[in-house]
Amino acid sequence: MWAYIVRRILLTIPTVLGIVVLTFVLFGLVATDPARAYAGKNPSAATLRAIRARMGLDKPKWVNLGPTVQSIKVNSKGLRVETDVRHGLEEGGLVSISGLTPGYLDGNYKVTAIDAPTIFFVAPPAKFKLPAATTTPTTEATTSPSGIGAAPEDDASELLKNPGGRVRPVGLGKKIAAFFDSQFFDLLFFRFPKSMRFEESVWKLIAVKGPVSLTVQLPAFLITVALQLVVALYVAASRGKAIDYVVTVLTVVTLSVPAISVYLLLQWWLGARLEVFPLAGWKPGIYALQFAALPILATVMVTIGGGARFYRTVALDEINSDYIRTARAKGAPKRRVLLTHVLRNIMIPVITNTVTVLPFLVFGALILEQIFQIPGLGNLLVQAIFNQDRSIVMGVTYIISITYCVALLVNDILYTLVDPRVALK
Amino acid sequence: MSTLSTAISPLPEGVQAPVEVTPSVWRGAWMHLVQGRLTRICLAVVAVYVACGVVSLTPILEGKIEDISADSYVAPNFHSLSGLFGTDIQGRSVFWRVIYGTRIALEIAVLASAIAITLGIFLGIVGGYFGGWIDEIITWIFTVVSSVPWILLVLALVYALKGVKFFGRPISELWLVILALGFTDWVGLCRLMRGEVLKHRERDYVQAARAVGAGHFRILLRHILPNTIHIVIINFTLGAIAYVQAEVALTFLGLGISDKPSWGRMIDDAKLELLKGVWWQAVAATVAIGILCLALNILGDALRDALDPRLRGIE
Repeated sequence: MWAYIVRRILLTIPTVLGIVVLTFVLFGLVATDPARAYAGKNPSAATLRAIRARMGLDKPKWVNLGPTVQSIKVNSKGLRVETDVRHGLEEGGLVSISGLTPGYLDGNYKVTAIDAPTIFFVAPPAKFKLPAATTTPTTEATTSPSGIGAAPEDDASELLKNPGGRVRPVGLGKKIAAFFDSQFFDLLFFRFPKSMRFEESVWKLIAVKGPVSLTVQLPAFLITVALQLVVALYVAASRGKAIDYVVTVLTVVTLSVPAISVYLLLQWWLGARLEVFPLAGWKPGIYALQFAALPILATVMVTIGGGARFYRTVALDEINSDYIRTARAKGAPKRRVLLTHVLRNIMIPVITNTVTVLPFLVFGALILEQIFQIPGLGNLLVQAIFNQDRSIVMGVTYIISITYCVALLVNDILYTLVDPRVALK
Repeated sequence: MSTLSTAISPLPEGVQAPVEVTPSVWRGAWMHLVQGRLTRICLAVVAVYVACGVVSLTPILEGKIEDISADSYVAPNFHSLSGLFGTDIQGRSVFWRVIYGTRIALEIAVLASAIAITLGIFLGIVGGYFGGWIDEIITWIFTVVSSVPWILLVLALVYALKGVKFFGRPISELWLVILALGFTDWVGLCRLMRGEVLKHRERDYVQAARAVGAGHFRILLRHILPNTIHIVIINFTLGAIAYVQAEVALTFLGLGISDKPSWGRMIDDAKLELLKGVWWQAVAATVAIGILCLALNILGDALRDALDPRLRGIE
């Protein structure tokens, strides 16, 4: 069994890699330039570049094989940083240069090359003078492990001898880190750029918005599962009677009517006409209950059908099995047979459904939250689609997919623990 | 096969072989649908929708759906056919727009299904039949695609394809929806087909075909495909429901159809009207979708019962 579990975990790795590639291809190869779409009409070149940098689009797509910051130009006074938002340098700031290997200084500034073979490093403005133009060509800097030692006679060499805590040799770790400094690996390692609109990291937004979604989704989910089980058991027990027929028709109806219509019509009927619930909106804290009630009701109505039908089929299989007949023959009352024997045996599909659905509860519902103005993650995602906030759309899509993948894994493992026969197949 | 059967035929010339009268699976399924009262009604309903769609393909409705001569928000009335479901904000007849919406729904359902079915069948039977690394790759692809929640995948694909030039012109909204749905929904079918082909691959009739020298292509197309095609048909009815509903969701999220009176757009338009008490546009579109999906759901279930009861419970 443990061999099976380990194999199952290992099998998840290619899937996760596939998800990264799929997400990256979907969002990386879009026809319209995301920066241009965000910038609106007629952006200046500098604005566009700044947006690209903030979106992380200035990085190379797959791996970083060369220098990344291309926007440094040499002039008579030193180096002019044109746009380097990512590394925190102001536009037009002066920096000095020296022969150094590419890598990192102080963990903040990146040494980059402009028109190799001359290699420069950037440092805080106005501290050092421009060195003589005879810097050593050390393009393939990776061969020099110390990384320092070029152009010993110029001013910058003073800096190198006495770095004052600023200059450090470029270690292998930093070099490897630089190699993975690309859009693809940003996605793989969950390094999402900040949201353009909220100026917040995607994780922070999830932490803030997730609980709001959960407030609606969790009660709705629990109520739905409970009702589904009750309905499924009751209907399965009275198979062929009128109630079975009515419930079957009702579940098919709920599967057929579009969810959006149910939301809108409930909102209109219970919110606007009967004024039982507030139309839409949200308040934090305990008052959320008042606003969450209608969305919860709507969610239950929309989602109850599919599961009820499925559990009915499962329960029917159990009811027709021998052990139930034995229990009934022994004289166990019908209700007890249903609640102990049948219910316990249909818990496996119920748990399977539950575990895989759980992560989605945090991510909320796209359209529901939009209609009822719930400031949850679903709403955030829809807004992000409208606002071309690429980082959120990509980040959330990726996180959801990975979470789902992990949930499937956990589910399979749980299943194996509950029913060890699975591992033998 | 025919040469083989004549060669081994033990019957002398002129003697008729006794013909066994067993109704084919297809005929049986059709009888199942036609004989049940409920399924007969559903068949009729779907036929009416198809008829509406075909009528809308002709230019008959072009003038009617944009006719703004009536007043804004006239409640449903029986004075004329146009006013049967009332009018929208611009005074356009909701009735004709609902009829026209049938065309868009059917276009999406048929064309997206065509893409999904083609992909699903191809990848499914290739993976299941050949096995080995081909199967590994195909399994990997559908595991990955099915890990991304469907609606998000569709949204991402619409987002990605928006603005792509095809023969110098951007892809129309309708085709964006069709492509996004078709290229994401082949996974379920592929998985089912692969599983089924995997079983059939070792069956006697396939071995027999192989023994008489049939090539892979012939075995797949003439022998395995006809024996697994029922999955496709059941999948089609359920897929059509998903596509019609997905169009509504996509349009609501601003990534669907905005230039034609689709049902999704009508519901989207109605979200503000409802609060003013104008319910007819939302209700008309909802009922149109609801009845179509209900009929397809029932037909899908009936088809599944008739063709392959084992598929019951696989959603």
